[in-house]
Amino acid sequence: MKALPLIEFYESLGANISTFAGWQVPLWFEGVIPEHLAVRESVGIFDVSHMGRFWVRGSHAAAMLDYLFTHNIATMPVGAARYSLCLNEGGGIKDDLIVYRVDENSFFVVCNAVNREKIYGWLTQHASSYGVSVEDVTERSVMFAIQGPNSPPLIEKTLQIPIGEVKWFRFTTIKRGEATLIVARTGYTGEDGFEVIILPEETVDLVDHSTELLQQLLSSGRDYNVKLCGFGARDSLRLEAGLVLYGHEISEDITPLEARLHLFVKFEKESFIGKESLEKQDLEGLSRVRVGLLMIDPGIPREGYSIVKGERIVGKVTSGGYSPLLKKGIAMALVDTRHAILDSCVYVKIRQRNAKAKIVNWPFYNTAQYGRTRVVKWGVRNGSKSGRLQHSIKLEVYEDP
Amino acid sequence: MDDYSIPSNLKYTKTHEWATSVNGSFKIGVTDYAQKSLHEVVYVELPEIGKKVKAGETVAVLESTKAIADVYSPVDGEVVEVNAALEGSPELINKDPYGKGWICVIKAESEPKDLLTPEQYAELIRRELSKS
Repeated sequence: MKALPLIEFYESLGANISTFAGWQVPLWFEGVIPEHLAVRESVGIFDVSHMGRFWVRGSHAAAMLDYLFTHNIATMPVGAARYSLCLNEGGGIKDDLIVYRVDENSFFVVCNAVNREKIYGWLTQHASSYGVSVEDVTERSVMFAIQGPNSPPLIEKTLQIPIGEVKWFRFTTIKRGEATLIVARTGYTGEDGFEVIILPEETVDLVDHSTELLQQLLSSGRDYNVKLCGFGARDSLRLEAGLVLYGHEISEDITPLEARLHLFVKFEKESFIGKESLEKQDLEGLSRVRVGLLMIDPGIPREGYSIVKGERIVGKVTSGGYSPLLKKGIAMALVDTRHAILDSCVYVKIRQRNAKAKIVNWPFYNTAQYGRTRVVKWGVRNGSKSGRLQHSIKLEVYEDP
Repeated sequence: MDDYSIPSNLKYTKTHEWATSVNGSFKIGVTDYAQKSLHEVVYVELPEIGKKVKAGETVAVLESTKAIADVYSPVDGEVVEVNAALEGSPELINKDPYGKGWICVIKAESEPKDLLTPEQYAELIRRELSKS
């Protein structure tokens, strides 16, 4: 069993500890709901050091990743990050990952913890023919996600970065003492936010450096109503945003077309692994597709529950739970395409009962009020009783790359 | 380590329900230990009034942000009342497990067996905690 490098610090704060993908992680500190709401309304910090992190380097690294991943990698500018899928020959998803182009010939890749060995093996297997090196730095680095509408001023204040220059799905690299930090404007919550990867020099203690940075974020964050968050809120936030999780909405047996991740598959590329299978599936049509479900009847849909229409099972819930914003059960499901009709009703088999649900789009929340592209101007209360806005920055909306 | 409240005027089950009898009817709920283990109850599936249950059978279901737990009837009998307030405010289970978070009233057909005294239940909790 592995553990997050800072697990003892989290235990000392009274975290409820659980395991995820073979790692000991904090499930919650205060509770899933308050932590979830902190990210939607102010800012939350997650330790996501369990995720696999690799350097991929070499003059043909771009060409290799362009062939192994579905998004355009070769044409990425330095300083850009891209969400991509890595497919098997059949078009099934080996993993979803984020690729950062650090310089012309150096890429940083972040993948799911559960797929770390598989992706490392897959990259290494192709690396020799491209003359590319692959280095796993997962256990020599720490990664924090700082997410929520108050994350830009918190990052700006703590790391002294002019945050307006780091646009959505862009990153900057800075020195902090004897560590290099990749500060990327990315996340897994639906909110504006950052992911910070700490790569200390070998002489520096990883735990000490990261704990010190985290404490600095938490203490600067008091002005921004920061909360330290666990994996419970991470899951409920990504579900509410309609973001996929490997092993649930995506897997080796589910294609990006079925998961409705078309945006991240660039068919115009000459070739990538899985392309032919996807083209074939695209021509033949899909038999099942990912949908969002909003419960109309009371009840909470959970993974594995059947979706029924009359006597027939027409799908399965892939992830489900309670939405703290909507105060209702929500889910994502893979459903027979003939029944995957927006605004139509289906039933979720919850124990003995058929509970009515509506097929909806994600994100599940009102995007005028919540999420990265919310239209309201956000402001930060500094804790003063008057509650007057102390800090207000015009929110820009950036197109996804 | 959390402290768990175990009121001295109630009876308990090994599966962490409490019960109190009034004229042959048993008002039941889940214990403080149960609600703390479940954390953040977000949905309560209540039984229908008139439902017949045997001791040890599921009479209600609690769902928290992360878990699902059955509530077992401590007695044989018929559900005569449910706490409808839980439909809109399931968090009452967490806030007040022995008061406003009661679950239902069961009209008993016979005297329940095997209910624990507060002292016996406290001992059960101590044993469970020492295991983990």
